Amino acid sequence: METLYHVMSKMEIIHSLIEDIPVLFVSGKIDAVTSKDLETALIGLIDQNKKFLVIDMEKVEFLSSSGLRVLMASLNKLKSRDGDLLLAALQPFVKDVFFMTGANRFFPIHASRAEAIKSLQA
Amino acid sequence: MPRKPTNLIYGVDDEPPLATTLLLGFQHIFILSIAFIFPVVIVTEIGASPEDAQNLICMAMLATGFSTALQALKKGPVGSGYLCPLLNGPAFVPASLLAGKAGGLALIFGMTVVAGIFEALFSQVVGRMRKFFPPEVTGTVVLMVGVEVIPIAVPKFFGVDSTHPGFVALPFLVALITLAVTAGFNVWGKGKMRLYSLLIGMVAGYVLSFATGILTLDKARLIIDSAFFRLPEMGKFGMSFSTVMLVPFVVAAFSSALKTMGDLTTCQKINDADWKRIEMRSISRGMLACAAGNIASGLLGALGQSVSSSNIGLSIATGATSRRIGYAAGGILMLLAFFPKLAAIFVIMPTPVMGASLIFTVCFMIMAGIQIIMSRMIDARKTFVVGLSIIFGLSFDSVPGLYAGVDPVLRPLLSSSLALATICAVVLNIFFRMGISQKMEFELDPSVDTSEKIFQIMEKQGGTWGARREVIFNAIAAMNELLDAAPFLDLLGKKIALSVHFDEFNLDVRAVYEGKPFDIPTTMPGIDTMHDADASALALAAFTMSRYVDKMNFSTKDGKTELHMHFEH
Repeated sequence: METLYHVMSKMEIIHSLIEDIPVLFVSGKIDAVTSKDLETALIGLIDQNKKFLVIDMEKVEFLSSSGLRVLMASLNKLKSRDGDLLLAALQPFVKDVFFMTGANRFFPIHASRAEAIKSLQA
Repeated sequence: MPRKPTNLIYGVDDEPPLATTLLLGFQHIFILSIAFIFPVVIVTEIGASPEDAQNLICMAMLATGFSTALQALKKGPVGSGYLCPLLNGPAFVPASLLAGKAGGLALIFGMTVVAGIFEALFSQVVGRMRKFFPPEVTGTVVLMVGVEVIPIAVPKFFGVDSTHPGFVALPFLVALITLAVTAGFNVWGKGKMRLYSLLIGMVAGYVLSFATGILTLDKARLIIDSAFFRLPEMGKFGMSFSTVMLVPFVVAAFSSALKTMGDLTTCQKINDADWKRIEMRSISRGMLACAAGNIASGLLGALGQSVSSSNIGLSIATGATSRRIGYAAGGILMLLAFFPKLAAIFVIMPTPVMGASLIFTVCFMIMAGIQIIMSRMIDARKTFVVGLSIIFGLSFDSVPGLYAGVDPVLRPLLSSSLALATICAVVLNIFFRMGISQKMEFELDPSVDTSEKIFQIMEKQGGTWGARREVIFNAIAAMNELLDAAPFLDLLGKKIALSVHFDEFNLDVRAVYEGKPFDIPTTMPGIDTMHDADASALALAAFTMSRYVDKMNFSTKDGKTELHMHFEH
């Protein structure tokens, strides 16, 4: 049996406002532990009555179902207010999670952050 | 049936139009013809006549034409089914030189038959030896097959020969333009232009060589002076045998067999967009085709053969790998043996054109080797297998004469950068396999452990096993889903015992925990349930987990549940 020290997951969230649209830059692994931070960040923005949110996921290395659930719950809440949650710049593995589970049919997924912002301005 | 990669214009099962097939066949022959230099080298070294050299080239055309067509056969016991032309390659040159000096051409041909028989026997057992040839070994061999051509190609490219020991501007310029034209058409040419890029480059090289006097009228006259039709003299020199020559020829055959393995691995990879691992049946049949080629060589009176890596490089470059091209190249080669006038076009190939063409194809071989090596996760063991093999392989060319003092019997083992690297890679792989356990166990504490722990353990172990990256990643993700589900299975404060078992075909994860099995939904839980973690998190984790695994099931014993997740490798 291997003895290993416990390692905390690493995830960072940076809030930004680009052309009046709230953008979250998320990096690292979104798992059972870190998804709680993501949930807090998203609820915070939704509570500020933000209707449209963009998440730049270029630096997300891993997404577990906990993270997926948080994203879907937030999307559901925004949709009920005629808003939307746009995902941008997904790495192949993260993109696979959406397509594998079928969650891709709920989210607008954009190749880049700029494209996501542009779609909101159209 | 393998999925054809999008970069191929004509895949292995495609049937290009006849004219295209013939032209592509000719293009391959231009590359093969560069190897006609080896019979000349042997004949010069052992003091035979130029007529003997001409006869050797004729027999080389017959024997390699036969084996090239045979290699392309998909049905029957012989032939890999790939476009993988053969030539009288450098693998047999050192052994042939030894035999030629000891007993003349007859001894070379007799021992070539013996080498063919050994290769045939080896082809029948190689299928059971896959674990000795993982991608880091075959990839290194493919890489070194490309590297081995560099010392032949570079002097020709820079105009260096016996009379010009240093760089010569004019041949270099011709070679540079030939390479630029070939590479230019390959990179920017569309459709047919890319398909015939080497042919176009070579025609440009021939014209330039003629215009600049590199290809003299005297040399070109060989085409006019050669007979239009002549029956080749088969088996003219007979055969003799010597037990002393057994080791060098068996070593040459072994080295050639491994080269076949490396080259056919590349063929498999370039023809299958979803390539995962070496398929031994086609390797075994391909090796048998090479063996048949060697026996034919000995009987007809030609040097030993091995597959031509440069031609595989050409296939990658042009995007044409149809086996029909193999039949065409083989058929044309055999015909050329009867038409010396046509064969002369290839015999007079200017040196700078040879250099440029070889360099062009070597680029693709080196990249193919690197891609095969990197198809698996790399750890320190594999780093040493690849790194040391390349370093000691290169030592042959970078320190000339380093192995000159070695016993002549063993010398073929150290006769080229490829032979050295191959032996190093095979031996080091066996050595470093020692102590690798195929089973690994660890524990997860859902109260404190996170995805980082699973990543750290599994990535390290995946590298040690040399497992495929995506399979390890799927296992990591599935284990993480169990961690995500843990709070809803009442596992906080309890331990999950994981055991992971790996072999070349399977990766199995067994997770044992105190608790009950859980339901695996067949559809994704509704989006409207997501706000309530208690209602949706377990179902979503179980559903996501089921998407990563190839198979999963539960068993229970003494209040404990064992979750078995199976991943195909």
